[in-house]
Amino acid sequence: MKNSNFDTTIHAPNRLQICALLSPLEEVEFRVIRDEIGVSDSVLSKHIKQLEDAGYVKQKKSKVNGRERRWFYLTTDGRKAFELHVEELKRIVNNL
Amino acid sequence: MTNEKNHLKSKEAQDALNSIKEMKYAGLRRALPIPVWMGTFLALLIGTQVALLGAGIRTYNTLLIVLICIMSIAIINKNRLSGVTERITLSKKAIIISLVCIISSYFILIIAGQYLKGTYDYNWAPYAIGVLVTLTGLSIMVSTRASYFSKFGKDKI
Repeated sequence: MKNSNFDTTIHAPNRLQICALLSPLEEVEFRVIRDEIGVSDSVLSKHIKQLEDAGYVKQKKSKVNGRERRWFYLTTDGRKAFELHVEELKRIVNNL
Repeated sequence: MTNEKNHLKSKEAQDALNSIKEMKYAGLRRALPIPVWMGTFLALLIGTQVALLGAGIRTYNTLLIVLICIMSIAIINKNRLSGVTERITLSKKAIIISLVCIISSYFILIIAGQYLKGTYDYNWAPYAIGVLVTLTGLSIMVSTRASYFSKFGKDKI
């Protein structure tokens, strides 16, 4: 599946789910992503790191009742790459 | 053989699209708009405040301000506790313009109520304006909720 709009960083199942979850929202907390995707903290951190390295996701930290919370959001590049990837998937489905 | 490969590609892509749709909905479900009672209560509080200030009754003003602040904080906290924040598609400029319009309308309506009561002796005018403000608040809340829930039906991936 090599194509200009096909993004291998995004396409991995867990990363695809992360991007899909973040796409309609402004920011999502770490625990929400973990619970929705159903992976462990370490697995999620690994995938988020890969998305951050690609410049698709960024994080913000905030303290609630003395506990640090991490919020994630899609960057403009990330949002664009995700949309193009979805378009590419649709093209693959419709071409058959 | 090529057809089989293509079919496999297509199936994989369809599975990916289904997974995207599922996760998008999961995210949207987490960011549900404020409950009806919260929106209704806030609209009622603001409408009452506009009506009473227009009628020149300041007895309950402090209480109303405190209640409006508590409701606003509760709404903001509800969003923070849910672990997601809704995406605002409006530009910063549009948000600032909207806020300026809302705040100026708030004062203009109070002054209009006072003017109609003081000049023309229309004692009912401030209350009518208060009802109008409450109804406007309610209709904004209802339309926001409706447009939000319509995303579930229209979002075809």
